[in-house]
Amino acid sequence: MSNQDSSERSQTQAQFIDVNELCVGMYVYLDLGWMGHPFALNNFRIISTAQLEIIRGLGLQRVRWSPERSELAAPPAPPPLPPVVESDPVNEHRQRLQEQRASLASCEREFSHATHRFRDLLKRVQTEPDIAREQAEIMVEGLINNLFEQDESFIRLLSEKAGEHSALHTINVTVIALLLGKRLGLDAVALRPLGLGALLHDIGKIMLPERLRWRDDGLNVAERRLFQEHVAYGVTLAQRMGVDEAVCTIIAQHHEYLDGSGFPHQLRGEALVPAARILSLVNHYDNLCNPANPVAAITPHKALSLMFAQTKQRFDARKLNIFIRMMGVYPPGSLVLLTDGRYALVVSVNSARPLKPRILIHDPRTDPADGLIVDLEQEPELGIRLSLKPVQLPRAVFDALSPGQRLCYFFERARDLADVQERR
Amino acid sequence: MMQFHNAGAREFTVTHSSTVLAQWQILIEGLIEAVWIVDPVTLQVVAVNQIALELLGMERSAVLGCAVLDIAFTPEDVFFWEDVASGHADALLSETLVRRADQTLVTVLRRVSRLHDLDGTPLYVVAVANQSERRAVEDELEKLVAELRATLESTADGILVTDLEGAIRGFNQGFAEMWHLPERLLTERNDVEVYSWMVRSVLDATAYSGRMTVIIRDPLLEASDVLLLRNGQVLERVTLPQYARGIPIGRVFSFRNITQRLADEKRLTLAARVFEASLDAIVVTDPDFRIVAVNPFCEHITGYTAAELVGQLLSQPFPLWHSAKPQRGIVDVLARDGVWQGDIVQRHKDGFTRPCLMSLVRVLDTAGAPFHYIGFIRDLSETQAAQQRIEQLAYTDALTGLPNRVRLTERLEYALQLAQRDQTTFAVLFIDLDRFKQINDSLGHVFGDRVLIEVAQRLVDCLRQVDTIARLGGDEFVILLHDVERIGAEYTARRLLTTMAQPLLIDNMKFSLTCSIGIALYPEDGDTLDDLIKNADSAMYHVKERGRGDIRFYQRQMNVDLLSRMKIDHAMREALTQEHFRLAYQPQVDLCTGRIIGTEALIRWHDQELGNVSPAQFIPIAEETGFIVILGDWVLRQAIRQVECWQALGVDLMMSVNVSAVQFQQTNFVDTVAQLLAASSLRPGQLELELTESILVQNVDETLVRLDALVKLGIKLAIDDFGTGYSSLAYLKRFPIHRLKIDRSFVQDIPDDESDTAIATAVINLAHSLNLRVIAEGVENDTQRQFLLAAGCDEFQGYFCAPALEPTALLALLQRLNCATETA
Repeated sequence: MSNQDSSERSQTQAQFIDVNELCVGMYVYLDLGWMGHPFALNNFRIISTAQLEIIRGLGLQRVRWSPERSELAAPPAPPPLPPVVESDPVNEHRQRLQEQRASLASCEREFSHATHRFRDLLKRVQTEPDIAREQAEIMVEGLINNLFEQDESFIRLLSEKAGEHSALHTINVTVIALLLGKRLGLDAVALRPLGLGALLHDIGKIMLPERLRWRDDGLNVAERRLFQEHVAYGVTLAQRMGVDEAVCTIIAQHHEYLDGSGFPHQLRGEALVPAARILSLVNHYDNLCNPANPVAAITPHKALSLMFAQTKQRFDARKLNIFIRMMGVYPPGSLVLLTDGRYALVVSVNSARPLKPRILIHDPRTDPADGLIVDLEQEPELGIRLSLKPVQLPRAVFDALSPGQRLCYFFERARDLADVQERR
Repeated sequence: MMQFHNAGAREFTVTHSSTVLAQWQILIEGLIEAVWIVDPVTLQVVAVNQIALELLGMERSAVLGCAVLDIAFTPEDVFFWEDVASGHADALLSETLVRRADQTLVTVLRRVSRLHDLDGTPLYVVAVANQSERRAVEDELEKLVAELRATLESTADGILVTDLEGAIRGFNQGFAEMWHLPERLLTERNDVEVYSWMVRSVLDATAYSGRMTVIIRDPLLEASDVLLLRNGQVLERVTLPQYARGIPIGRVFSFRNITQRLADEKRLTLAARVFEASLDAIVVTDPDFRIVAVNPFCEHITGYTAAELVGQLLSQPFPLWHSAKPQRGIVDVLARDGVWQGDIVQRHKDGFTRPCLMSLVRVLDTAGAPFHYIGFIRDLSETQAAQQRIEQLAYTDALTGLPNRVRLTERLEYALQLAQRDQTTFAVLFIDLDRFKQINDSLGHVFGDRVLIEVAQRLVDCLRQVDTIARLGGDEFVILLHDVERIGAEYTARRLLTTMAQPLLIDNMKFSLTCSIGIALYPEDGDTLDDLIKNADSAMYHVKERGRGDIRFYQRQMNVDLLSRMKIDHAMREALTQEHFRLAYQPQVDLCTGRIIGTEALIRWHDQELGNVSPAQFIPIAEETGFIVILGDWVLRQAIRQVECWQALGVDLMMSVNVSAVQFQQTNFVDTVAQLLAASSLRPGQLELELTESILVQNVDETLVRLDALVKLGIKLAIDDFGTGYSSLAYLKRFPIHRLKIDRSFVQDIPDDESDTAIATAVINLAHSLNLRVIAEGVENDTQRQFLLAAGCDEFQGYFCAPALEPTALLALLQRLNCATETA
């Protein structure tokens, strides 16, 4: 197409712009005689501010330009609209939900980072113990710093991930132990050895044969004895890494219970240091929620009930009390069936009234983005009837309630996308 | 806060009257669930039914009156009762755990409600339904389902389950991987998308969709299909109805990726076919060289069946080695290189042998030890035969079987070397069959070929074993006579001539063939291959020229002659343009009167370089090159002009001009002459053309026509050199000849030589009896003249009168003689 044609064609499309609004990148047509301007051509794309100045100095009020042929760095943005002040509760609500989701997402990322870093650490424990220790200390420090703004989100995440393969027991335990430690009033100085001990508590398992590493049930006597060796191995490794004595003690006692029914030394009562008591409690809890055989996993609510109903003598009463209050009777992230038959997701703990948390009710008629958050404290007639494992929910309900988690539509519906990708 | 209570307080405040409580007690005893009633103020158990006691595994005395918190076992229960105590809650419905006295846990559904009795007094009723059985069943079910699901996930096949309408109930990871389902289709329920993804993944979408429709439509259909995907994979799909208690409730598709299997099968089939079809014999042995498998060609080449061959040692049907143990050499090579190749002579069961090429290949197993040996045997007999044939073709003449030029060259080189070394001589004979072209043209090439074969045989029979005869092509043969001298060569050559002189009998046709033989000797006639052949060729050529059917030895001039031929031809053409030719005229004298009646025009040429070149030299060359036509034409013109000159001077003579056969045979010869005559002032009968005998025997009819035409023009015709060539008296009769010229060879020795005189006389008589005049050539003395006069000859020509003269000289002579005769 000749220049003439194209310019004719774009004549109908060309627009006029005030000469002061010209900017670099615009394609302009100077409707002047050849002598009227110093440029070689009548139409061209402005490539420098110098050209801009020259054009402005030509004495034109308006300049014809073609947006299509211009190459503007950013589209000339319309002036920003004044923010709409809407005291619309729906929007607020939506915003809150979005914030929650953002928080959850960032926790998930934190989790995933921690998991990866821990795996890395495991590789170095035997070959470069000093570096491993340093890495562990950095991790604990990071966790301590990050947890505290978002403890509720973390708890929810833990509960949501209960029963999944990708949940790494150590990280779970570390996070919960730190949360509980903080709740119990430990300061940063005291939290560090707790965190480090929690991070390294099962380190001895790398010295076990593979098949014993992951199984914790159905072991015969000899296997069980061998399994229990991992405590001693852990202590040795920790010592080689050069961690504090306190941390080694914590590791040594992480399977001991107050009533002496633990291992390897059947310590009881005061022999257990407080940090170890926290750890053994939390360890027990996570092992209930994330056992080796995923089918045997129980809901966090059930785990807490069990620990309280059946084994409370193993644990420090006060710590257990505070733990339960921290997690809530139905910990955030628990999927529940309400007394009126609806499904809901527990979203936050009500420490004063543990039976009345805030829940996100699944209503098939409404948009999931507008999920109905109800404070059960305000609803005396409504209550939680029981907690459910994710696989027990109808798929649609699960999707609506926990959109952050992506489960694949395989027969084995607890299959997480990340697991699928790993397998691939 | 939580408090731990002793289960012991027996004293409790009763808010209700005992009668009311007793009534409650009666009522609750009749219920299925475990029930206990709690006082709202004291939070103690005021009534409990038997079922509850059994559930708790406790004695009535232990329960009744205890604090409700004693039988609150979960945090939920504890918190609830705290709430109740603080007035925040009064009802609860949920699942919880009950811990029995024996420390076992029971899952229960527990409901706490606050009721009012008729007085309005509140109380809390705790109703507990044992869920453990149901829970156990549920757990069991869940476990089973989980295991089933795990099984479905862990099969190698991809599984897709749909309901009867085709809605997807579920699929496993294998399915997702096989179809490369994108992530979004894995996490969201979208049947339409999944199906359409599958359709798009298939190569023939229409056929696939059609089939799916058929399958979905028929709930009981069991089918197996092979699906070709766009990405090149091949899936085998089996679909079965999903039955529950004998009724189809859905459909199960299982997919298996058979791409690899198909590829493997194809490869195997191909390999098997190659094995079967190979035109090499293939034999597979075990590490001990015992035959394990053979292909059909192997059976063919050995004459044994596969069954007979299997189990034998390799060396039994294939003679690689003759002892029981394999030959060390072969095994070593195999061990070192992995392959061995060699020629063997394969013996067939029926006894005949053929040469074969055998290649052995060693196949190692994964551990690196010999696993198989594979032998490939190729039949070389055809190849060898072909090779021999090629050699044969390369070196022999296809028609006669004689060696060809290539072999001749080889032999000649060898002979040269030998002769050089041993200081011996040998001869090269060049043989050309005379007028062979005529045989080919008249009797056909097939006949000609048979002649050549016969000739070749005859020639070979004359030669010794050590001699070589080769056919160069056409009708040319070259013979190499080993270790002979001049005499031997001549002797052999004459023998060849003799044998060729025998008439040939082919297809009941008898005819004779002669050949011309040129001989060159080593070392005097050349010491290189090229020289010897060239010189023998020249010698043969000379034979041709001199009449054929003879032998001739090479002489140096022959080649020089050849050179000079070309020179002379060139010089002639130049001479003509430069007018170096002239005519001389020899007078013809009437014997009776003694007067000069005419002249013969004879051509003379004086060249600066070559000097006087005799017509005997240059005329033949002119005839060869065809220049004679131009030259002859010029001669005719000149002669006619000369006559005209003389006419102008008042001299009236006949002019005889020689015409060569070549000239005469020109298509437009008669026309040319006619034109010349017409343009001249010659009277009829003044011009005579002298023709050689050879003109008269070829193309008789044509010749007659021309001669008649010439005569019609008023030209007289004479036969030159009569008696030296071929003449047919019959033709003589027919042709319009006027005069015969007796050749000088017959005149020379008369009257002394009796034969010559007889011949001359005979010719004169013949001529007269045919009404022809006769003139004698080469008369040199009076004796001859007198004899001729007496014999009746009409005219004579010769030195006795005068040689060929310049026109002026002739005129002078004319005047002198004619004056003399006139006066006489």
